[in-house]
Amino acid sequence: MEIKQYNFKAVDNDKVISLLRDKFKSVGTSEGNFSLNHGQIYCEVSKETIKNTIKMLKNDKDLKFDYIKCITGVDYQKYLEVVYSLYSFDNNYSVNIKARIDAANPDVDSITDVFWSADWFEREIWEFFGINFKGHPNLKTLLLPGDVDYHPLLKSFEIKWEKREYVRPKVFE
Amino acid sequence: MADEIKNNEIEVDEISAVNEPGEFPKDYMEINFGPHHPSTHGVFRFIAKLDGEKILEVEPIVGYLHRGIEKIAENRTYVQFKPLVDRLDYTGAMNNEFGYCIAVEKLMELEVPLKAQAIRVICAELNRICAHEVFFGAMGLEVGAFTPFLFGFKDREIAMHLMEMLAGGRLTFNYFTIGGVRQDVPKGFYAETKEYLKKFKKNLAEYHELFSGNEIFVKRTKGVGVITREDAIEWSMSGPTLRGSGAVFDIRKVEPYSGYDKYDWEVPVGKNGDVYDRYLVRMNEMAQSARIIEQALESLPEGDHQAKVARVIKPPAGEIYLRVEGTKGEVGFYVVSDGTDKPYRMKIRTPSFNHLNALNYVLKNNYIADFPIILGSFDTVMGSVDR
Repeated sequence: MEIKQYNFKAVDNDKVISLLRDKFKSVGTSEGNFSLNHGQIYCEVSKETIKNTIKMLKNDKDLKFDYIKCITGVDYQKYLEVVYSLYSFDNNYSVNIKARIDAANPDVDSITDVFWSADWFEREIWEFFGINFKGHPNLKTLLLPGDVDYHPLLKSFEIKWEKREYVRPKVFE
Repeated sequence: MADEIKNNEIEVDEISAVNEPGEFPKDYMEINFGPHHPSTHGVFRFIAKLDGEKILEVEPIVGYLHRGIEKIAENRTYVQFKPLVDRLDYTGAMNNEFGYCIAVEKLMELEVPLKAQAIRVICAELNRICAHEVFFGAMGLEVGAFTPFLFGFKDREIAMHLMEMLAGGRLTFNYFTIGGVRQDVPKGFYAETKEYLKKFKKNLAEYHELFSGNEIFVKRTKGVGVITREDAIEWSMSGPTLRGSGAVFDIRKVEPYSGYDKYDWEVPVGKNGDVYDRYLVRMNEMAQSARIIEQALESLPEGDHQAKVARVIKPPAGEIYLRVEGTKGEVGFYVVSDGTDKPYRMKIRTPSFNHLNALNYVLKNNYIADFPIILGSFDTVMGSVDR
């Protein structure tokens, strides 16, 4: 194995956005809604094209987004959102891809066959938000007990503050 | 008697003939490991399928330490939530606070005074030394040597005393605030830290002499649990685990925060991606941390230790994903703010979570006796996996 030094040059975000726009057009996945927030690129694509988009971002020669920083879900009450934060080691590019998901019928294609590390990220989102990842090989609870029937990170789930009193077992009396 | 032996031989041949590559043998053994086994570093359980001593498949089961920290964050103000961040990776608490504070500060577009930045770097690097010292001790236990444990913890004790001088706590500090640090550096900290670093460098050389070149240790760890660079990236591995596989990658260098680019230091890197390389990377990282602390102490600027911040912290609506180099790898905070004093969503990305995700892949075709070493080389902390 050889040691690889990566290129740590500063990145011009506008250039990356225009490059991404071209790539999106050439593949025909979706146009994408780009925005810059605190120096980070956010891009909204439709949920039908999310798998193809990420596959393209990973395999494209100019982009090479080969690393998942984070996948997470957000509950905006009217709709849910899945955010994929990708990073490219070779180019030092970062991008956050977002997909809007219907709250009534939450499902999206799994990207486990594109990225191996998506496995646990998606399992976690499934159990905390109830978003069904179609094509995930092993969709079962990860952090919560196996018999839960709620999704704790949805805004509709409220933390209940219960006061529990210690009941002395009868054995000691 | 002779017939029986003959029969046995035939049976064995038949069994091995039935198995095709990629298929489990018919007589594999399933064992349960943990959640309270001492070599799992916390409450971690897995079910392993074994063929003799060889591991065929591993199913990690986590969640025994789940405290719902991400949900609690949505019901707390930004300041109230900060102490809980310490409890994620409790061996490197300062580095978690670092990530959280920087993320919120960037949302607020808040400038942190130079002095606070330097103090933060000193804290983070001291804590990195502490965390790697724990790793060093645990690694010794993993291969059956008890001395490194005592040596490592003896050194760590003094570093923790230094941080106690600053923060008043030994393990979970709550020292960083949004906009700086809670207190200024106390009298005597400068001299004591310098003295500690001098001793520490001497000790580190001794550790290398004692343990790194030890023939038994080298033979147990070289060529075990090999991860290639491509696979490490594919599995979202980070920190010393990724660097052990030959990637010169450190977030402190790539996306420098808090003035890390001002200091002169190197990124230690491995070559073979095995357990021994991951061990060496961590050991060499301690020396680099000492280097950074020395420079930061030398050039500690004058000024405030905290920026002027409103009492109620209300970042403007927006979102950010910010990552820092924790002790185990990339610690990331995805914060969504809706303009109120409570975060709308707080996702915490921890390195150990991803390292355990890859456990099945790494452990496959290794021997069960090597499991503690391989898991130990990731230096997982269950508090940060389960959150």
